[in-house]
Amino acid sequence: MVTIIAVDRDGEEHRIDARVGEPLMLALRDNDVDVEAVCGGEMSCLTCHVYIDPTWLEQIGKRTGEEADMLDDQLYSHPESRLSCQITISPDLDGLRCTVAPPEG
Amino acid sequence: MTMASATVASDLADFEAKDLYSPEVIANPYPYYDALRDKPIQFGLEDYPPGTVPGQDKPYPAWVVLKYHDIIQVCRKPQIFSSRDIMQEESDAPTLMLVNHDDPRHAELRKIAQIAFKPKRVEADITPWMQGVVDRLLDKEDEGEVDFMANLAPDLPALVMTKLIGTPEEDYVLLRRWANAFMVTSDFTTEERNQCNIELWNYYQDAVEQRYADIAAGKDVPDDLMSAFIQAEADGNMLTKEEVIRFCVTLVVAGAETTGYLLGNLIDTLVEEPHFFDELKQDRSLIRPFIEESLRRDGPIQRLHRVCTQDTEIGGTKIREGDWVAIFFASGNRDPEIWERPNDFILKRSNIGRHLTFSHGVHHCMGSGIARNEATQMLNGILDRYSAIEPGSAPRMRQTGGLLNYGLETCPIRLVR
Repeated sequence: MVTIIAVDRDGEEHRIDARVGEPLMLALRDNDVDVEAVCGGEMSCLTCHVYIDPTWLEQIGKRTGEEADMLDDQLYSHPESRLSCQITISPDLDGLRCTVAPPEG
Repeated sequence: MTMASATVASDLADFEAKDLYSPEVIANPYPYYDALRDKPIQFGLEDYPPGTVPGQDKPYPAWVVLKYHDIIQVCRKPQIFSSRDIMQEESDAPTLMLVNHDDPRHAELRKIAQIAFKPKRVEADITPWMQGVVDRLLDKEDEGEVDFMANLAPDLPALVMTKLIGTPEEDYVLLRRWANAFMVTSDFTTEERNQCNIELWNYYQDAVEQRYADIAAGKDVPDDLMSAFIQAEADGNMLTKEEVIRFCVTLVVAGAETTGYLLGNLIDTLVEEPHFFDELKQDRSLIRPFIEESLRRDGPIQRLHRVCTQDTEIGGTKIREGDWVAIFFASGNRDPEIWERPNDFILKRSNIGRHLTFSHGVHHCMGSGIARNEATQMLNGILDRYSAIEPGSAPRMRQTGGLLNYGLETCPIRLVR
């Protein structure tokens, strides 16, 4: 288990537990921080979009090709954008900070 | 609660879920969902999954699930609530890819489909072409009175499917008809419905076989979905020829009719609440929120079915292995527990991402981006060209043929330059 610092859409900070080996999306979705993740990790709905704190970007690694394709056209896409369903929690992500992106709608 | 809705609710106090399959409910099911939503779930609705033929296939009675949280619970447990559609399998209609598959095969197929369905291919790459099509369709209608549901709404999605899959554009009229017959919405005779299902299958069988032959002969083949389905490989898995044909069929029936209804419902709101037309015309960044709110409040797809693989419970009611369950996404989209003033059309709801119109979980609609793209291009085309949309000389009528879709049968409007 690692601790993630998630900032919800109201700017409120939450310290949440995330299981190693699981997608970051699950921890965010199950802790009610405004991540809807309606497709459950199928890279289809874009409702688990987060901004990774710049100091963590290198650690997290690059977007995959399909993920980049998905994010490219989005209104609120930034260089720090990632789909949290595509990030697997590892022990070295303890303390990761991310902010939930606004809904596209 | 307004006086009007209070009256409706008391009139419907004794309404039962098994009576949902009736023309007046299909035209506007929402008051009926409201009347049932907070009661224990009820059993006994007999209605027809896509592809089946009323009068020929026998429907299985189903539990009716209407609360947002219950729907989510069903969607998140695909191992308990299976998507296999025995009724469709027993019928003569082609079974659908992904829609009616369970894991592990569903996951394998989805991975292959995702390679073919790259957002770039199905969205960015075809946007300029789509804009051209919208222009052409609007050129034909010009201005004045037009029934939006006659050509504008159904033609765009059918044309998009010809382009994406890679068959001759002029065949879009056939696709329109086949999709209508398959989705059990419009009035077709049993014979017509069967005939359409056969034609639909044969059409794609011929096209796919030709494409395999072209590839085998080393010819240059177009970079469309048909080629991609044939060539996509994930973890050593490829699709069989039959699966490629079924994928093409699935795209047509899933993508043609539903999106037509979405387009109609968008226009309906613009006529009903004309201030939105002006707001969107001035600020195009409101188009996406407008589409999302329409998907929530008036999402065409009402419900899909699941079958229980073991004894379980939903919202405290015990249900048995083998029972059918109808999950009503459209009811979840107006559940007051989730949505404030659920019947009102409100742009930029903070929780809009939670709507269920494209389903929830592993079966989330892969074509959602295409539908949004079509809606965006149609709205942009209309906003570019006209100064207003006014009501036409006759009322706009909702379809009453089948419970699968909430949408307009006719939509007479006046396009004003």
